[in-house]
Amino acid sequence: MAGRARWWRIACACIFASPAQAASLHATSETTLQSSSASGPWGQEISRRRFTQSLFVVPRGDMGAVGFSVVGLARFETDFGVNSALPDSARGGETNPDVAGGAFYVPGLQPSQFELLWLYARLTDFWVDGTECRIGRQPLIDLLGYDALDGTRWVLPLPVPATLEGYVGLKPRDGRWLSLGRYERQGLWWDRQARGGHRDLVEPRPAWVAGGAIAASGPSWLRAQVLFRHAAELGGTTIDDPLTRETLATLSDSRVAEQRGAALLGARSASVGSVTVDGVYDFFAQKAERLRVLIESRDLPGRHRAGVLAERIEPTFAADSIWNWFSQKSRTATELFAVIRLPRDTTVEPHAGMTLEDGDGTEVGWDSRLYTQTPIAGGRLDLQAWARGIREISSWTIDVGAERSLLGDTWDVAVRAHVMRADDNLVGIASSSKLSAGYLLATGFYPVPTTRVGVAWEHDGSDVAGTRFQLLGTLRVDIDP
Amino acid sequence: MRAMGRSLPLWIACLLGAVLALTSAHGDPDASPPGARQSPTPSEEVFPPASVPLNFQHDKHAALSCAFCHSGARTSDRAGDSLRADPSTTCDTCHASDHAGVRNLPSPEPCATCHTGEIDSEMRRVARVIKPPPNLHFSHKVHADRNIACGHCHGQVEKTGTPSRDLLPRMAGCVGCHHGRSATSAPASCDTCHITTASTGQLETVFSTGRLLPPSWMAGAEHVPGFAMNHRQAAAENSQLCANCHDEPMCASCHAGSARPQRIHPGDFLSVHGQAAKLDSPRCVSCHQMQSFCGDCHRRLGVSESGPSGEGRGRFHPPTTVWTTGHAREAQRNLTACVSCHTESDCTGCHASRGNRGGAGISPHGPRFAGNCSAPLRKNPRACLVCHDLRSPELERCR
Repeated sequence: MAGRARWWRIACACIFASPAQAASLHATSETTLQSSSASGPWGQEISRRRFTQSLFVVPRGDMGAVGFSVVGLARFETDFGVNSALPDSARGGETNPDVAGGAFYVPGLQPSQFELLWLYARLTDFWVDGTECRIGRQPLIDLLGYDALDGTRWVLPLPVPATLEGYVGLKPRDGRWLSLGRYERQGLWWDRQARGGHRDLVEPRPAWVAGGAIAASGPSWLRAQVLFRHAAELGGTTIDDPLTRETLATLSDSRVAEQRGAALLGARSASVGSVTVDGVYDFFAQKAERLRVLIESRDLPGRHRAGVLAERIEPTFAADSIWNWFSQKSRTATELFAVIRLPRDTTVEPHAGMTLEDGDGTEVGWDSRLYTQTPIAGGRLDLQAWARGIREISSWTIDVGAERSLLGDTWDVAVRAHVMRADDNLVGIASSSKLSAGYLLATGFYPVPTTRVGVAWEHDGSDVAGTRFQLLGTLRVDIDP
Repeated sequence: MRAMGRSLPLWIACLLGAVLALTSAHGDPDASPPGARQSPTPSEEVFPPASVPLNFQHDKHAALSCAFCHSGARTSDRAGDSLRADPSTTCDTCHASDHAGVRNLPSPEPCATCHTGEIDSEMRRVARVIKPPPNLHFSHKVHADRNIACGHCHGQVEKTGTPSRDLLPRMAGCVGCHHGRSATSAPASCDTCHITTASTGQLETVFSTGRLLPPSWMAGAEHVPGFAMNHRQAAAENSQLCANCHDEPMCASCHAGSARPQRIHPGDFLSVHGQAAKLDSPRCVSCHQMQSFCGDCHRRLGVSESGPSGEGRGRFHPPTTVWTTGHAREAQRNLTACVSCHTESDCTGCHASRGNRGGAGISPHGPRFAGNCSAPLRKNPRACLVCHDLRSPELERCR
């Protein structure tokens, strides 16, 4: 009887969880106009004249202990700059393969697109506290990375201090925002054999995906996670000769698209620090894709923090791809970092890192960064500086910014400036050294507390790429009845 | 490198030892509330600054119970309730004072015994206690009913002097009970204590005294200056923690934003992004779809092997004489970057098997591939068939 009553509560919540029944509604509209240009090292220039409109709507409410909400995020984007930098003889050539023999055609370049990023319904605490169910197009963020799921995902707390998570649905493979490159379409580019005719895009298809995770919080100092994801290609495919387009082989059965698992084990003390070990294993490619060790102290004298992060990476790709079977060298990146707290709430956060390639060991990269935040009258001064390099390239950058926090006032302002020098080995550049300097001015005005009108002006100059400008206008409106 | 690998456990042990030695060098002040070691000062966003112009000494009143002065604590159900003592029923019972008849005092001098700050001699007024309500849900009654002693949250008040902010609870102390690790533990969801907005259900984070941010000890989520750059692990480990304060547009503003986020790529990042990509392209891929994000610009600007016709073509790689033999090394160290532009057929021209696959038979496989190829062939033969005939000897060996 108790089980039937629970399902009855769930059914009621589903029926009544409509926007019309929502106890509250929150919506955010953001309109952006952006005008900028980017120059290549050989002087070619493209213009961006972008208009972006996004709308985020969340009706939510609760029925007793059961909470419900619907999350929708949609975006329309258009770039009037596409095709604008072409000569008259090639007008429209970036989007039309029939113009100028397809010489300027960029497969996949879309001047305008509408994206339904997320649309899902969420129920919480309908079974016991901590239960959650989502249905619809939703983000999937876990140790395996960022992904999108068209399906349903359930989180159930267990009698022991652990939660169980499971999901099933369709996994879009064209890489919506936050998705990994491993699910991108293949075939944007011409190749040597196909030059003279553009290559068609391999349009992405969704794949069935199912996965599960268990996360345990254990004793106060211990936590653990184990998760596994399996995705399967449903439809068949053909393998075609790239030159003749003749079909060489046909696959009609379902096949593995992804088989990956991840695990995390961590020990943490609020007064001492933490040790975390986690990794991702690709069961299809039979490779440890990532192994990470983080040792961090959180409570050094003066409340300083310090730690070391070591990460070994060997990228893997979608199971359909041939790239999994090319020999690769793993890379191990080691990073030392600290958070140093100075008087007056000033924080300095230096990082220093090094990347080593396995194998012959001749490839060495390094990366060091420094962030500082200093309170100033009514605001904050930021300083970022970094230097990085690999073998034949090195650069250093200093970026200084000041932001005044908006606390009840009707305006905000930000000023940034930077100077940068870099060596580059791009083939064909007469001077391999770049010097760049620029500044950013931004301000926002709140005519009413829920609306911000912002303008940003960015201007930088480089001795290789010349002078660039960017003008950015934003209008953000929060609807909070 | 091998020597370094062998000595790695020793280095880690030394580092851990140093960390433990440093952290054991200081301890809690005796009287401080639990959690004061992690947060030496109480949050101003939760407890806005108060003014308590009193010369009251807690330690001199240690013989009294807390409830003698703060009698409302046992019944208070809201954090904003005033628990101040009524001096006419507390102070006056022991001290030779008469707060009810204060206007009849011949001079205001006796007031200064306990009251500090400016005293209005004519009106017999003292500086008022100003204590803004905390931005918090809290019921003293619920805790008192469970026989939780005052000192459990406020520390050893009887050892302290004048009222001060140091006696206010710290979040690190709260989670000693509100950890949610067992069925009997106190509720651990953020909105148990923190104020939420009615429209979004998320935590209220902007207050007149500042912005509420995660404390330094919480799950690696402290928003230090570089957190925007390094937040991926905290998000991957527990994205629900982020969702208590941030909604989807917050993520989208950078990850799918219409403008370059200055905190991630400040300054003229466009000029040095190639170097960042060479150093750590997997990091780029975590946000950018390389074939579409990079490809669109690279091809239109001619920074590509197959740019638009004319002078923009073929200037990405070194000259062919160098690149034909040198590309393998670059591909082995950063294949992700290669495939952001190239398609399979760019490689199969040489690396596919001879015969009707049209390759030159130059194997790209690693040394241990032959022993591990049967499972992938069974699970998904598509990649194998791009380079090998279905009945080729290589595939037969794999089967």
